[in-house]
Amino acid sequence: MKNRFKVLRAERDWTQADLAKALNVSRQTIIAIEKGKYDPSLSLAFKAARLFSLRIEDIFDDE
Amino acid sequence: MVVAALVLFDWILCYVRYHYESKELSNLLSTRWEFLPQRKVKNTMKTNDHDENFSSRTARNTKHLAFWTGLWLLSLALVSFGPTLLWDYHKVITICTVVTNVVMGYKMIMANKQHLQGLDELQQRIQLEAMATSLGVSMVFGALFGLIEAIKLVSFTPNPSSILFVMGITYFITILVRSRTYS
Repeated sequence: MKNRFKVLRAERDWTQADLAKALNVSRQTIIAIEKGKYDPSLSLAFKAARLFSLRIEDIFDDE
Repeated sequence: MVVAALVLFDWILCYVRYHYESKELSNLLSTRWEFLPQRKVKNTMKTNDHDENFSSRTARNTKHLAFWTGLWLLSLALVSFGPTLLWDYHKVITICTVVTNVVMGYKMIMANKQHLQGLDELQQRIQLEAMATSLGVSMVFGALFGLIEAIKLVSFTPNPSSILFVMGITYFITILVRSRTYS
């Protein structure tokens, strides 16, 4: 699944560590999500959507 | 003992990594975090479980686990070497040390459970994959290892504790490989 984590993070000038702390996960998880190697759970996707003030479908793309 | 040492080493690595991350984060807080919009920071606080961040929670759980694993190892060493070297097979003392070892083992298991529950979803997945691989390899290896003397492939009697070596090494290698895959 593709996602816009990296772009959204860069737009806000956050580091991976900032985002990891905000989502209460490890930096390894953020790296894996950004590289598309790991698809987060629904709960983490909702957390990310709330954090970025976006809808889940605006962050993740299943195509 | 080797398995426990490998697992302990793995946990120490985890602790060092998270300690480093938390130091890195505390530096970031003084430099970058103040530039974040206030509303985002509030959102961040809402996402934290029990007002404790991931790094400090994992570091605490890892310390807790290392402590109980260390005590369990010590009590196991006492059970193993005490009767011959310290109290000349005195039954009451031996039973006391065995009971102590079981209690320490229970505390270590509980600390491990707490440690796993404190990890994030990706790390829990890596641990699950490592456990599955380790269990599967141990089962296959163990079943075969029990037969090799019976079918006269080897002349010596296989030592069941060798399976623990296989289990520990498989677990450790899988953790390393899967962590590398996801990073």
